[in-house]
Amino acid sequence: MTVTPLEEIKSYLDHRDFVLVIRRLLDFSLDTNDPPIIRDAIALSKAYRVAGMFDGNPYLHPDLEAGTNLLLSKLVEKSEDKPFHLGVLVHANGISKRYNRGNFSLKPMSLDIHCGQIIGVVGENGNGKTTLLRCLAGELSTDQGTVHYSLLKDPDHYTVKNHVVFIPQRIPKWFGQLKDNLHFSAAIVGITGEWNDLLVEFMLERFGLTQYAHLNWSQISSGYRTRFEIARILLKRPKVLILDEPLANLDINAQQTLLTDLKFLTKSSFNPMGVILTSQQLHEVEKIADNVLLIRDGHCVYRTGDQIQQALGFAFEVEIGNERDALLYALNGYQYQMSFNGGNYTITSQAHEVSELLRALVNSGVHIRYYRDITTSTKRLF
Amino acid sequence: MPKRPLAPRIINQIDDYLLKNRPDTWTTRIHLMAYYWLIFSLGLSLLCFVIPDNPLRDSHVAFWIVAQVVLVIVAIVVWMVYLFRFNTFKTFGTVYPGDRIKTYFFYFLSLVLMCSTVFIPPVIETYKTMIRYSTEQVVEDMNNMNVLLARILKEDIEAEIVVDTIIVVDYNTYIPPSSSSAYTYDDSLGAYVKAPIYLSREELKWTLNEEDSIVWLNNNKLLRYTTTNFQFINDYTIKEHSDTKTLRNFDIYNLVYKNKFPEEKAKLEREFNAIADKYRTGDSDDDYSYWNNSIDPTGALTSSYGLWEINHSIDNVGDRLYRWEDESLAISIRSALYISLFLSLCVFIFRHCTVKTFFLSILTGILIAIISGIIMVLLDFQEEGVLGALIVYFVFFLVFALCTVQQKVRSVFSGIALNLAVVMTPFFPIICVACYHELNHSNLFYDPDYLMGPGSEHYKSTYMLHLQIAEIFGFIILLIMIETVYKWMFRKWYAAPVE
Repeated sequence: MTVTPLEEIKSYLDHRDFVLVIRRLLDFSLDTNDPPIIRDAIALSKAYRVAGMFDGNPYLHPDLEAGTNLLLSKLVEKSEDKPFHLGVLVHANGISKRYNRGNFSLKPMSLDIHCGQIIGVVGENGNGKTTLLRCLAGELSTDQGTVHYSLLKDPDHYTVKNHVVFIPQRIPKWFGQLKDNLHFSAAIVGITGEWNDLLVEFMLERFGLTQYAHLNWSQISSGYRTRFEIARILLKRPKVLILDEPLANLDINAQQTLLTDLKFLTKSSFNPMGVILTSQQLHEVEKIADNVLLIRDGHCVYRTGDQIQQALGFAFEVEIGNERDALLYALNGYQYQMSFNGGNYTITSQAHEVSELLRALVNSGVHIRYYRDITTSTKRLF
Repeated sequence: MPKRPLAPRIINQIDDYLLKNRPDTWTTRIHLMAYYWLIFSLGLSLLCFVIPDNPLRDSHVAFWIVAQVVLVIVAIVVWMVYLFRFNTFKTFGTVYPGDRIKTYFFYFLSLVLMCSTVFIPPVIETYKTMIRYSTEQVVEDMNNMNVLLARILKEDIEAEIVVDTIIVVDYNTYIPPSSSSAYTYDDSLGAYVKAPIYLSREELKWTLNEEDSIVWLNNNKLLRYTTTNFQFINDYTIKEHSDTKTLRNFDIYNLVYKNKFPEEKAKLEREFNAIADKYRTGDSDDDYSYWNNSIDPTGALTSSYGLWEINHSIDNVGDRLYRWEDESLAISIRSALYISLFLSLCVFIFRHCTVKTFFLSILTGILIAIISGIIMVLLDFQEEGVLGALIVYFVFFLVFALCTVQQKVRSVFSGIALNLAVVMTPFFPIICVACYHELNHSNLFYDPDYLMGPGSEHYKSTYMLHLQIAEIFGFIILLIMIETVYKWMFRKWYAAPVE
């Protein structure tokens, strides 16, 4: 069932998820490409912040509610049913890479990055994730294969790097004020004058950077640096965003926020794009990624789909407050395999679905502290 | 809190406008550079103007220049720190037509502005001297003082007229006989006569300027009539630039010695001191002990009338007034422009290549210079050989960079060749002109007849004109190449993937 933007925001509003309300309002206002509406959305966001709505204040002032509804009505008026084109942005065909020094090589690999799609690349350290990303971004030469950028006609590397933006794990240090850097990034791609002011103010507000606008690199935390970097890159309106370990410097909440933002922004009609990112946070990435690649020793060993379930059956992780015997007693009579990594039990079964096994545990009175269905997760392949 | 110190609102508004609308120009910081240059120049000019400085004394401008050079170096470093913060090219921004040429020109202009501040102290010093002393006034005073002194010393100095024989020689082809004696034996006369003076054509010009009584005996021999030297106060620089005629020794002789009436010495001394006081600094004559004057070998005259002090003062005035004359101005301006040109080229290539390639380019340039120098010395290269080698290097770097810049992978060698070609570009026409003249006209420099003849001067001026045209042409070629070939090459090279 498709949820309209209006319904989505109203749902957040009803559940008092004010942070999400504002983020989505800002996103949809940007989609309208209408400066007065974008200004209204920025003003409303500032008003929410001043009222403490982002700090857990559950009471929405009537003025704010009125303002929100007014903006929503404007958005409804302006909203158009723009067909979202999920075309291929990058088509990599059999790319491989061997370094002159060292034994590692990325084996021939093919993949497509579609517009509005997020691809997660997971794998252990040193298995070729970053190499793959750098080849896709045109940073590294490939030994074999081709990378085709569908929207570009006979591009040179300079044009490609304008089209595809790579954010490395270690964000390069920038100088001067955060705000100046954003103005600069917008201006160099032709966003000038009032649009420049408006979009920078929008990005500051959208990524919660308004209070840090006049600070420099050394005055903000690494989490805010990541946010800044994404805001800076988005101002350049790239078609493909490539992020290497973007979650590495972020706390749990910030990771969630960033991933949700990416999910929203890839499908923004203002600048729809494709995203490919690497991460060690399997579950978080799997939640938002449309496709997940697992890379091991330079090979792509898995792509999201039903292969794991078909090959290995159902599986879940569980942490219990009882002894192991309680678990064994509860699952007595079922066909399953169990492994214990010291923290969690991983239970797999070809014969029973996860819900069936879980029901058995609950009915036996096992105290479940943590549970995750990993039937289709790459976690099983690690 | 203001965004920039000492910057008025308009500067911040310009800064803001450029940041949001002309980012490439904004990164050069030309607006801030121009503003702070203006503030600094005004401040420095005012400081130089209000600091007391006696034009009669030795100039302290050398200390100012040293201090100024240090400040310029600091300013360049600060400018670069700000310049390197933002880079449109390296962040793969949109490069519009004309952007590269404009950006490079602003680098150059910024550096010219910084270097130009070195000239402020000497210019102010010249201006302050011009306010107090005019050349005509000084020459008039010199004439008056010389006549007054001649009159004062009329009874003490025995004036005489001396005849010298001058033989014009070419030192390249004829070495005159060395003789320590003032007299030489003349075979034709069978008696000792005053030894002739041997002068080159160049030296003769100076003699002719000074003397008024010359009798040419033939093309290379003449008689020179000189009288006692009455140039007690004398300064060539001042005299050279004056419209007022300097009284020569004969003029003073005629004025003083044809008047047979006795002079009122006390009155004349008062008149002399009234003029001389304008040029006295109060320093003791001992300070000028190095001063040597053939008029007064014993020093009695100069010490009693303070002539050393006066001469020194007038010399200082002359130096301050005419330090910009002749070639010194051209040399000073050229120095500043070439320093700015070289630094701006370094900044330009740094802004368009990787840090590693930039420093490797510098290292390569130094190594090539050293190795080439050694080879050229060992193979006894002449000027045309050195210039030819530079042409070959430039062509090689450019062709190599052109051939390799489109490779699939970014090569450091290609980057080095490109950087070196860019740096050599403005000098290429100058090298070509110099090489052409060396190949076609170098033999003339060894031809004494040519050097002595009028063609020599004409040739030198033509050569200089060609070099000046080549200098301007070189800069224009650089700008054109930057906007066309180099922009394309840097774009191809920098964005290419690495191995």
